[in-house]
Amino acid sequence: MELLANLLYGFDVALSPANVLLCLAGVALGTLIGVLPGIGPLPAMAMLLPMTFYMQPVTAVIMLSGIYYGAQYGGSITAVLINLPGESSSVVTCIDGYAMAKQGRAGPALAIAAIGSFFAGTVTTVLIAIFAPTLAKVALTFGSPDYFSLMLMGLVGAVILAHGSMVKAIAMVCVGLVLGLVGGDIHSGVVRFDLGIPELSDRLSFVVLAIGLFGIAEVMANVEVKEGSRSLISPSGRFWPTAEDYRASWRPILRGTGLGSILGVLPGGGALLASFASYALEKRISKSPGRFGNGAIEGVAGPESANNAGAQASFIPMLTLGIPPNAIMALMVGALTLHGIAPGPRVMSEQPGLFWGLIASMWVGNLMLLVLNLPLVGLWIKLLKIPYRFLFPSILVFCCVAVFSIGKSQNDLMLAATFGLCGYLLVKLGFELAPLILGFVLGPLLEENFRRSMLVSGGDLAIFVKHPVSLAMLILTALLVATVVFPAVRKSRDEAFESEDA
Amino acid sequence: MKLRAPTDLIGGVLLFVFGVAVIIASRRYEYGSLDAMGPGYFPTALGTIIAVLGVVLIMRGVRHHTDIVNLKHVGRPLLIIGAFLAFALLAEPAGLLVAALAVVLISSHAAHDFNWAQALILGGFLAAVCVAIFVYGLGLNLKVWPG
Repeated sequence: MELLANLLYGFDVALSPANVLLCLAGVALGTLIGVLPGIGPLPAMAMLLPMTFYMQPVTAVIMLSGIYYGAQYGGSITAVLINLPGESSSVVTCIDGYAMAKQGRAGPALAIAAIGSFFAGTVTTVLIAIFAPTLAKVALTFGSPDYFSLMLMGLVGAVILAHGSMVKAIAMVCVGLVLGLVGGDIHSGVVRFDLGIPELSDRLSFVVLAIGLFGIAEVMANVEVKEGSRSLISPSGRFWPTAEDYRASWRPILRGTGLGSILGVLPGGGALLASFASYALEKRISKSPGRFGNGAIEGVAGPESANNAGAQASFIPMLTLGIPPNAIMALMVGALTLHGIAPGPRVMSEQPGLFWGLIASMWVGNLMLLVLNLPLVGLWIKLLKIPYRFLFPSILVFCCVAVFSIGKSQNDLMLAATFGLCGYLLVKLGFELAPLILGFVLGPLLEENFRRSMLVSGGDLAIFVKHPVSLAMLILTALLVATVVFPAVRKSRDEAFESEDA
Repeated sequence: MKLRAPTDLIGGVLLFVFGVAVIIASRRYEYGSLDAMGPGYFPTALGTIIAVLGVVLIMRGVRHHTDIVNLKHVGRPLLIIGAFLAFALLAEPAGLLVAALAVVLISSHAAHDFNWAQALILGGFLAAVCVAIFVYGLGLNLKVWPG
């Protein structure tokens, strides 16, 4: 009953006019950037971060989260109609979604994707409401060694799930950790690595780093490749799925939701991993795997439900432990920190309005998305025709003004440009930027908890295995590492990423 | 221009240099000991890990000559940075409208199908939108017009 009261309280917060309006703005913008290839939720959220200074914290997180799960809906439209993933988590939707569109069944593909996403969103909202409070209560008993081991596990997970070279991913985490240490040291008050730039003496600004790495660097990488010609298939004929379609889809939707909820919570997980895993699962257990790739509706229903479930489930570790499982959640941590809220187990008791309001807003947002996507799909198709030469200057202008609006500082702009250049270089050299941003967010926390553990134990590293929770985390971390070291698992990891590149 | 070198080799060298730089910079801060870590302890440890990973990549890069960096089209990305720098230089003295217009006009050249008229219209439109959102919407005290 407490759960019901909490949820009702959440809906009370989420349904205030300002929150409903900005939730709508968030999911609409999310759908837009999901539809448009070449811009993802990360740069969009980074650009909007400075604007959230001027909002209530709860309104800010409601809008930012709307962008993330909204993008999961929008991404499927592009995948089905032009065989391009509008969003990286919709890569697998292209396979069977586009095949369905070619057979004149674009409508049912889009509809089942939206319905599956909505179902997954509803279930995950309830799951968060049930499990988050319990997890937060457990987390309140965690000591410094436990937190250190937990963060270590998060970072190791991010490394393992990064594409490509693991050495490079570990290096990126460490570079991120160093960047996170820039500014005042809590214990000694010494200002570290400020390079004589006043903007760095406090802490490296999250907005500057995120816009540099995910706004500027991404545009730089995108303008280098020539825009391919797109052949848009406009949906014609029957829009709603047939009874046969529903019969084939309800199990994949259920399985995708379950898979997404589990994979979203794991360190390094989220929407992307969930959609791949779901596609692989559906293909494996199907009685007629040959249909996959030729317009099997299960190949759309499963992954699209899974990516939305994964996106929302990844809020659980962020909200309850303060540990972001992926780069987008790292950005949410950054947004909360801007408002002076330290994400962690105390958010639920100290900011109940924010906590329950956000959860309730997810369901409200999902409902809006269902309406935005099904009847208004024609509008989004029109937006698909916007050429990239109009898009990237717009992205760039908003990046500039966003950075400038933080403190009207030329140094901030120069720093963002530097990070843009570095980010572009790193991408060209085959490094991934997501582990870097995770390291950046966790840097100060990792140092702080390690230091405190060492202070308590008098420099005895054994403290990490003496604390049971910490020991459990370390064992889990070791298992994560083992999965990669053992060749059998390593092979399937490589296969998963191979199919992604295809 | 075409620079042909293995990505691992270049990436490794960059990492190594960064790691060593972090170690050197950390020497200015007190190191302390494991039971009482100073502000220099953690960064030194991280710098060391980064430098070691740099060496690992260098060795891998020397052994395999597979991935090659192609800088043939590097002009377009550099235009993007140029546009951003133009904004940095213009925003304070010339105001938001001019700076935003400059960003669009410069960066649009990076498109494969550039068109002056379209770029001007887009620039004017975006400049106006930015002023509307940030100056009038959010009430930020930013300079709009030159002079």
